[in-house]
Parts: sequence; structure tokens; C-alpha cells
Amino acid sequence: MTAYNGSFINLTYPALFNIQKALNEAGVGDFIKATVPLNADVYNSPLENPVPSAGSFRQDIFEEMKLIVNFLAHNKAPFTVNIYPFLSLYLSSDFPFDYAFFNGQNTVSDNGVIYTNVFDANFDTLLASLKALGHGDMTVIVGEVGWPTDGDKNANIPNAERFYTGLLPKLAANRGTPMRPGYIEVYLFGFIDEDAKSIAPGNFERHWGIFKYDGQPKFPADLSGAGQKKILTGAQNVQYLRNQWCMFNPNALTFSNNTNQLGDNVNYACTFSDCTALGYGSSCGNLDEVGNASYAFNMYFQVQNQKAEACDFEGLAIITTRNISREQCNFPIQIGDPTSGHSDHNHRFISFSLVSMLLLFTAL
Amino acid sequence: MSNRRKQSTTAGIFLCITIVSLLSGDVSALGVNWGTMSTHQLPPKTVVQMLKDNNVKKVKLFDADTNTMVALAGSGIEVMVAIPNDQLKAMGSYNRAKDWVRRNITRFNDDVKIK
Repeated sequence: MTAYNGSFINLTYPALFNIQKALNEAGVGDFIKATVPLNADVYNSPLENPVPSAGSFRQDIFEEMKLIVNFLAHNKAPFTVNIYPFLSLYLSSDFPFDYAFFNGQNTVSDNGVIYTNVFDANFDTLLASLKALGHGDMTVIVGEVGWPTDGDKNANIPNAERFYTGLLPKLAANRGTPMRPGYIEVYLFGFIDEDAKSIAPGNFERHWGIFKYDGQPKFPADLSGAGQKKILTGAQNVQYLRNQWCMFNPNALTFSNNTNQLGDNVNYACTFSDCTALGYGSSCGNLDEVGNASYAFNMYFQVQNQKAEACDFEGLAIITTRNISREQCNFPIQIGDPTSGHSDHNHRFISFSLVSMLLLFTAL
Repeated sequence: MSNRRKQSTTAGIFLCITIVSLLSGDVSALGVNWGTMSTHQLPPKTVVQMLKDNNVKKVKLFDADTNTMVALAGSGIEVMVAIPNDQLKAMGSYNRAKDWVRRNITRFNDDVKIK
């Protein structure tokens, strides 16, 4: 919980207090509530008795949590928690893989109550923690739950599909958890991939979407929870940039054997774009050095809306109209206005003069 | 956003109409998080259409962006809005909090189901 350090209580509680007070004074406080989404690591069960019913808020932030929970309870506001079974895999090296899903064989017995998945166990650990503060009946919203599809060896489409195939029917059937059967209000994380998210927690951060960056579905999922292998409806009428990619210039080897030059340029490209698919166990993790460079150059080129000067890299890169995607490893084309960026037919200059004219009109 | 590091980048104050969610009849409705940390974003209207096409009735945002709120207006989709972390400190001032509520909540109250 080091990331919370002092700022957690110093900033969160006063903000929560003031916002709810403002809502109340505006006359909407009865039906609009302020809540704070917290991660599942603010509570736990003791090591010597690792069962949900023994849960409590962590000792090092206990007083702060008590303050927040009492305030939420006083205002009849819900507790909001983010539960990530994917991240549970990394909490300890011996975490049973199947327990992160909903169809595994691993079980935990809590005084005779059988837990078959970490989502339920986690949720009920929170309920026990709330109960210990005298608020066992508090409404709990799951603010985030999901599974990423790239950027880590466990973040892939089969695992994500397995996770959602278990989660969605469970939620739709209002099965709830052993401690609280019934409806749970849940928000999936997330809807669409975000290529500019901080990757401090890991490369998977940019791959949480059930839809890709362009609003197209990644895998079959039935949000109605009927458990059918339905294809989600993707974004309609999406505009893409031109059908062109940036790749390593195969002729560049003849004039540059300087690998640092290549490495430096790849680093530059990745710093200002998204290379998270290149890591170990990720969708493009098997590319050779040249493939890596092409991937990085293309990602930068696309982020820069295919501007010609964004595919140079000191002569190491060249624009191609041949799709250089590999099996498993997609070299994407970004979404956007196809008339922007590089064109072989000098359309750029035409659009440039159009823009100038428009500016003139605006000025007039 | 989960585990401590995720929290530190995305936690905020979320506002919600619990009465709406508890009594609105959508007791099996599933929500999704709509994050916008992307270099290239789909037009908000396109995303709202995706929500509708996939029968998503509730959405949680990480801010209260005007374009997003305008796109959601009239859609019947319940919205949970957020104060990003970098604005939490400002909310330590009651006047700033009051101003935020006025600009982001009460202003949309008739058109957007803020939750």
C-alpha cells in the first residue's frame, strides 16, 4: 500500500466529504452519492487464517478506512471495490491458476462454506471487513473487474475468454457470493483498449478492453449472460488512416551496421507509441530484431497519423503498402481521417491549401 | 487500476445515484468502464452506439468530460462520473467542490442519468 502513503487520507477523505456535502446542499444528495473506488488490497485475511470470514481492513490503514467507511455508511453511499483475479496470480508464486477463473477445480473451505474462485473469496473478504466495522450490510459495487488480452504471458485472448465466459453468466444469474447471494452491481474493465495508459503496473495495462482500440471485438462474449458464443457488436463506420505501414528499411543494413543506432531509434519509437505487444509472452513477443524494429517504427508512424517524416528514423525506415502483420502479431493501422498523413499522390498539399483557405475564411 | 499501483493512477471520487441503480429495475444490468487514455479515440457518439448495440445500460467514466456527457445525454444509459486524482487536492476546498458539482453534476441532471 506504499502508493497510498500520506496522500491517501490527506486528499481522499476531505474530497469525499466536500463533494458529498456539495451534493447534499444542491438538493441531490439523496439520490446522487459520492463513493471512492478502492482496490482489493485495502483488506485481507490473516496469514494464519486465510479465509474470507476472517477478513479485515489492513492494519496500516485501518483508521483511514474506518473513517471512509463510516462516512459512506452515514450518507447511505456504496463501497466501491476493484477486484482483479488476473493480478491475484502475481500476489504469490503458488497462487492456484485455476482459482482466478470460474470453472477451476481449486477450492477453499471457510468453515464449511466452499469457495471455488478468488472473485467470490475476495468480495466476501470485503464483506467481512465491513462487518467488522459494523457495516456488514453496506451496498458494495464492483467498480472494475476484467482480464487483459496482451502484454503478459497470462494476458491473452483464451484466458480472457475463459474468464468472461465464467463471469458473465454468473453475474446475469444474480448468483452473488456465498456471503451475499443476489445481484451485484458490476462494471467491467474495460470497454475499449487504451494505448496511452500508464504501464507502470505492467504492459497489460493497455489491453484491458473487451474491444480493440478501433472498437472491434476481440473474442466472443455474451454480455446478456445467457452464455452463448455471441460476437459483440463492434463500432460502426470506423474511419481508418490509409492502408500503409512503416517498416525497417531492408536496404538500410548496407549502409548501417551500427546496432546502437537501430536500438536508439526503436527506443524512441516505443517511448512515443505503444510497444507493449513486444514483450515476453505477448502477441508480438517472437519477432526477431528486424521485426521488432518494424513493429516499433509502425506504431510510432500510426500514432503520428502516418506523417511521412514519422517514418524515417535516420533512413532506417520505409513506408510500405504491403500489410506486414504476422500470424498472431498484428501491425495495426490507426483510426482517423484517411486524408491526413503521407500520400504518394501529394494529396497532402491539396488538403494543406484547403486548410489555409478555411483559416482565411475564419479570419474574415 | 487494480492493486496498489493501478489505484494510484486512477482512483478518484465517484458519484453515483444508488437509488436509481437499486430501484430502477435494471437489477441484472451490467456496467462497463469507459476510459479515454488513448492517442486516437473513437468519436463519443460511436462509443455510445456500441454501448446501446451491446445492451450496456450503465457506464463508469474516469472524469466528467463534456463531450462524453453530451454524447450520453438522452441515451438512457446510467453514468458514474469521476473526479480524477489530480483534482482531488483541489476538492479539499469546499468552494471548489461546490463548483465542481455545479459544473459537472447539477448541470446535466435533467439530461444524463448520473449515477
